[in-house]
Amino acid sequence: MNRGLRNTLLGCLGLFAITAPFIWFRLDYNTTAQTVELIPALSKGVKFFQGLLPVFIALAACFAWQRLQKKISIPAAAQRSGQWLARQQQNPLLLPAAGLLLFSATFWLDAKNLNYAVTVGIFMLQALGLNITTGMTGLLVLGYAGFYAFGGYAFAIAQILIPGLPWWAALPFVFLAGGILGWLVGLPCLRLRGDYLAIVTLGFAESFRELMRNLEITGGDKGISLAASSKFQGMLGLNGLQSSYVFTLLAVILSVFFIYRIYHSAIGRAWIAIREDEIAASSMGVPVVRMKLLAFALSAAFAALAGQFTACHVGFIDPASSAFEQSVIVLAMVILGGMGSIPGVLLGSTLLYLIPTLLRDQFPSISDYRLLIFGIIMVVMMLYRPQGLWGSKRHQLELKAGS
Amino acid sequence: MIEFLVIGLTRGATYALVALGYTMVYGILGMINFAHGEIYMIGMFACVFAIGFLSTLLGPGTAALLVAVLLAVGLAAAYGYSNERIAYRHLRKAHLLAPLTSAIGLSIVLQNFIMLSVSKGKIDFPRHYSGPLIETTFQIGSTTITGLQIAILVVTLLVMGGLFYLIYRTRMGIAMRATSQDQRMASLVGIPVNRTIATTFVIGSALAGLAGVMIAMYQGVLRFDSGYSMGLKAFTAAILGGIGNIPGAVLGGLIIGLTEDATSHTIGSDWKDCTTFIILMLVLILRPRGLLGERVADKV
Amino acid sequence: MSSSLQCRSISKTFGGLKALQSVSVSVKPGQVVSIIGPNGAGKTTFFNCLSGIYKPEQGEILLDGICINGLAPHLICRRGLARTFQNIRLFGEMSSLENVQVAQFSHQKKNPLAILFHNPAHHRREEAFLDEALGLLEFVGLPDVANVWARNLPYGSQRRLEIARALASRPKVLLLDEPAAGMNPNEVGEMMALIHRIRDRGLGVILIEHHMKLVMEISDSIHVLDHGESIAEGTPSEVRSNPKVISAYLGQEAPN
Repeated sequence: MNRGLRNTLLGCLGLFAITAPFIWFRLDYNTTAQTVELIPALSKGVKFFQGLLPVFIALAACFAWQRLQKKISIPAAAQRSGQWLARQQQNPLLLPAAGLLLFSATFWLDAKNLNYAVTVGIFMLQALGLNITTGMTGLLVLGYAGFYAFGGYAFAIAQILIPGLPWWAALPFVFLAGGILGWLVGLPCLRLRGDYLAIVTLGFAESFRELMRNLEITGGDKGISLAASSKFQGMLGLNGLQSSYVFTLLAVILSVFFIYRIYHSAIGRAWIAIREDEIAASSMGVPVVRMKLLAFALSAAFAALAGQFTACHVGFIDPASSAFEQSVIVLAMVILGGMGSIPGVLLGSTLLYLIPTLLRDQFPSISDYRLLIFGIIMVVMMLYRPQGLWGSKRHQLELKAGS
Repeated sequence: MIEFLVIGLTRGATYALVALGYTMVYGILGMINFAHGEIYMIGMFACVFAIGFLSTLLGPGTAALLVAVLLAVGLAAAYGYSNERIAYRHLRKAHLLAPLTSAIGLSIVLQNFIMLSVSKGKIDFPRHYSGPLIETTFQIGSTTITGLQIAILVVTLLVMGGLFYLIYRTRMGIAMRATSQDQRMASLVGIPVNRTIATTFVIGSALAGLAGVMIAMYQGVLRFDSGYSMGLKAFTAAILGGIGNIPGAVLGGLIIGLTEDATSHTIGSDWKDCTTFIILMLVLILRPRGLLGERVADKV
Repeated sequence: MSSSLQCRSISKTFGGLKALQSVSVSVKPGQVVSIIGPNGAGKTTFFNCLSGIYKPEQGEILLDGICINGLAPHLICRRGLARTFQNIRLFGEMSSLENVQVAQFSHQKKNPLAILFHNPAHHRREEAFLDEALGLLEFVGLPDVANVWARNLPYGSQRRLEIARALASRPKVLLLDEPAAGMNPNEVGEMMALIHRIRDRGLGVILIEHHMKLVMEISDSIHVLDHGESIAEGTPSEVRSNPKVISAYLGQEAPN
């Protein structure tokens, strides 16, 4: 047996050994004697793995695909279709056609799926924002949900103070406020090393959550419910949900345009340069701290925007929005999609929301496993494909042999 | 007054144990092991499971406790080793974000693993075992000190003594210090770098596991997310003392323990966590190298 | 002609280690000054002090008469001092062209509206910068690799790309840190020609090198550093026959 296989088997055995006590046994408390006994519980163990079934299937599929790829050459038809896809990317009609398709979905998607679509859209806004600091500039942010919740709360409080405030009037201010908050939080922290920054942002999100839970005006644990007039309103024959979808879609398209333009400008290049090598970037004239602050502020602004959209869509905001879990989900989307790549994060958001949600309809207990699976994805992606599913392959050509 | 001191030092000792793991890994790999707090949590749960295992085999008895502690520490060390092998070893040369992200992913996996396989809520530490230690008390003036607190302090002292001996007087310790200074050079002079790094993880995780055992006995309750807040506090302690500096981690842990205790008694225990966070912010912003740390320049 | 860059009595200490002691170097436009010395002599530390990565404890650095001590690296770059690195610090996941474009940052207008809406004036400016960047790639001899990721380039091309990038910031003085390291004699010859071309453009060049042939042929003046101190200074022939220099290099082949 070759060494690689032997090591893998030993590794699996070792993993099994250290996880076995927790999975295959349960604790039996004797309350009178205040002792505890360990009882084998096969059914518990089996149930545990049932929840992980989709992960195993996916991993097995990837593994098989990899093995097959090495053994079977891609048939000519598949190659041709791959080339056709690549050509279509250059087709100028692609974007308008896609746009038409997406907008028309307002009419042919049912309520449940429209809801999913809006949620995906809001995640896309968040992922696009986080992509700017973490993906493009290389600053790990663990407390992204703090800015997201800030946006929701900012709008919720505003519509309490100004009754009847329409959402579109508050939007630019919420965006701006998010940016300013990001700038303020970044100011003392961006000089710090990468891991310190991550912890500080986490602390910020947690503190924000505590604050929202404890203040009167923010409604404590229950949060704030929005007045009906401040949510997305039906208009032009569309109902509330449909107009939610249209506005979210519009926001995503505009955000993609906005970020795309900045990404392909001197500023975008500066961000990536900072990610690649901060000292070299600085020595080449890039004002590193200022650029980092800009990235941070923009990220926070998009998060706040997404927060307001959520508030307007579901009708309330609560402290749970700022939870670490939220930050992790968006982070996983950016990582899976590809750091820095705009189509990548759009893909990542879609996959990481739709797949668990659709699976949940089939396997109801899977929602418990959601975070576990995200964690596994993060580790696996870093090990095998750190550039993500649709990594930013900007201008990557393999150098021709011999030149 | 003495009571405050004892409580603060007891907790501080446990923070120091976990902080040592952070600081050792940082010293040798230059990264913050986000999943370290979860090792502490695993130590807690492993102890209860080990007690259950032994008491099923041998019936309830005090000897079971000692063996269980050793098993728990061993299991925590095994988890630490697995973490290193699976998630960090291959990412040593990668861009800084990769090992950090991997660590976060790992931390999430471990937390959710325990949540799904053991309990979503809290579980109790069987009082039959910790009872005797807690009920044995000593009087100093008007203060009552429990045997458990003394045990924690004594064990921590002994363990730290052992660690210092290891680091400064044995070959493995020299290997660890050499690898933390210059990995390439260490391997060129024949130091087995992979093994040294793995050993560092194992030792750090064993310490964290031990801390978990002690707090499990002290608090009596375990939760799958205990690692999160301990992680943050121990991390603060390591940073406060100077990340990478071993005596610093001990100093930092004790300071955090005492400060927390002081806050508890003056402002109120709800604000405990807040104090630690404020300390972290202040240190990171005003003196990022901590109390005993050295300024390390980037090699250009 | 007045000096582009004047460094007087630069000293830098790290803890107990005196990395640099009272080093003074100056360079005029169109001049090539080389800094040589055994490893660990403090040469790269000196560059780091010049480019703003370290702040010297003592001494003055004047660029065109303006003091640039203690300024942040990007400000020093903006004033006209650019550099390459001993260990090649390219932006690996960016193309060669993009690497060069990054260094144009300080000269570009970053008007948010223009970036978003691409008015004709913006287009023209971008075109001009693009042409300049492509021109620099040609200038250093890398006309065909504009779209290749920097980390996929062969070593020699990477060194030249670093120089193109530094030139893109339109410097008055260029610091080259071991540009010919690891090159074979052919490549060294090409590097020498490149440095000639840079000099002919009117830049002042300070060069750290170990290839003695290159140093002797290209330099207008040479400084020798050993243990952080300047032990000799002068024309190539003066330095070549300086006994202190020869003894500092004892154990290595004497410069011929």
